[in-house]
Amino acid sequence: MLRLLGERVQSGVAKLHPLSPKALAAVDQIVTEQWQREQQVNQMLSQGDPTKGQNPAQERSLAPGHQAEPDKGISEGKSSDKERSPSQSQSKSRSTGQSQDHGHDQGHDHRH
Amino acid sequence: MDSLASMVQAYRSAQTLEAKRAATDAIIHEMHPRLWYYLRARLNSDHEAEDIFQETMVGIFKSLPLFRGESSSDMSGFCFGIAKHKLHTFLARKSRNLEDSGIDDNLLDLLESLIAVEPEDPFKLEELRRALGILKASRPQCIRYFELRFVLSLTYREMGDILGINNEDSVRYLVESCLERARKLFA
Repeated sequence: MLRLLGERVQSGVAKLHPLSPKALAAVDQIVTEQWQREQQVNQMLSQGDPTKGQNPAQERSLAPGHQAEPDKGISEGKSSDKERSPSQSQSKSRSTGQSQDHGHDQGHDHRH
Repeated sequence: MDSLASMVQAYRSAQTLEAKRAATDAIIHEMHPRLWYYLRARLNSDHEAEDIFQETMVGIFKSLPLFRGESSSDMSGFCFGIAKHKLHTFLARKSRNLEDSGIDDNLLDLLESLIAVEPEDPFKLEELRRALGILKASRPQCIRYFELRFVLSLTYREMGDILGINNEDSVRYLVESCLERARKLFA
């Protein structure tokens, strides 16, 4: 019953407060700009070295010691292994990171 | 429905802008109810919640290329982390804090309004209202546990972070004993 109640609250949000076109447009602009930048970098890299630049965004994010830009961050997963599937638990060791912007204070309402 | 993890994987591996947009749309729709509720319950204002929700979504997709998590729970924590950061920045700007926002006083009203959206099944709605009332009557913190566990779908570990309890099993015990009491009252 409580799970049903929780689902009902979620569906209530979706129906009473649907996603605004403004929010969707703002996100679309970000995603489009990122895509265009990636394509430009890909193009530059493929002109300089055809063997590189398949996916610069992923290469950048996986680079050792890479730090997030001031307005960006990398989250640290805080979930419980007990609540995951075995495959998810195995991936935990590869999914850690750190946040400069926000991830560090995730979910600490009562501290403020 | 696809898991959040598979949506993120689709976003990362998208080979066209259209595919990237489709994955983006799926992630937004998956996270929207929980993030919106999280913000609304703490801001006590639809308008403010909408503004901070938009800031949160922009923040999520700005940072997503740098996100290295792989599980749905990692992604969920990542999104709530950004939402929390945006929320606190907003409150600091307004010289407000979460205590001022009257979260506990207004939480039941918000929950009541949201569960009443689909009145086509009056019996079920009545049962849900009764469950909410029992939660409230059992222990005050039960409403909070219910919110964290069943509305925001947080793990016990994530709940522990919010409740200031390090031991995950302790959180599980607290929540289950509280909810069990509510279940008995409901039966």
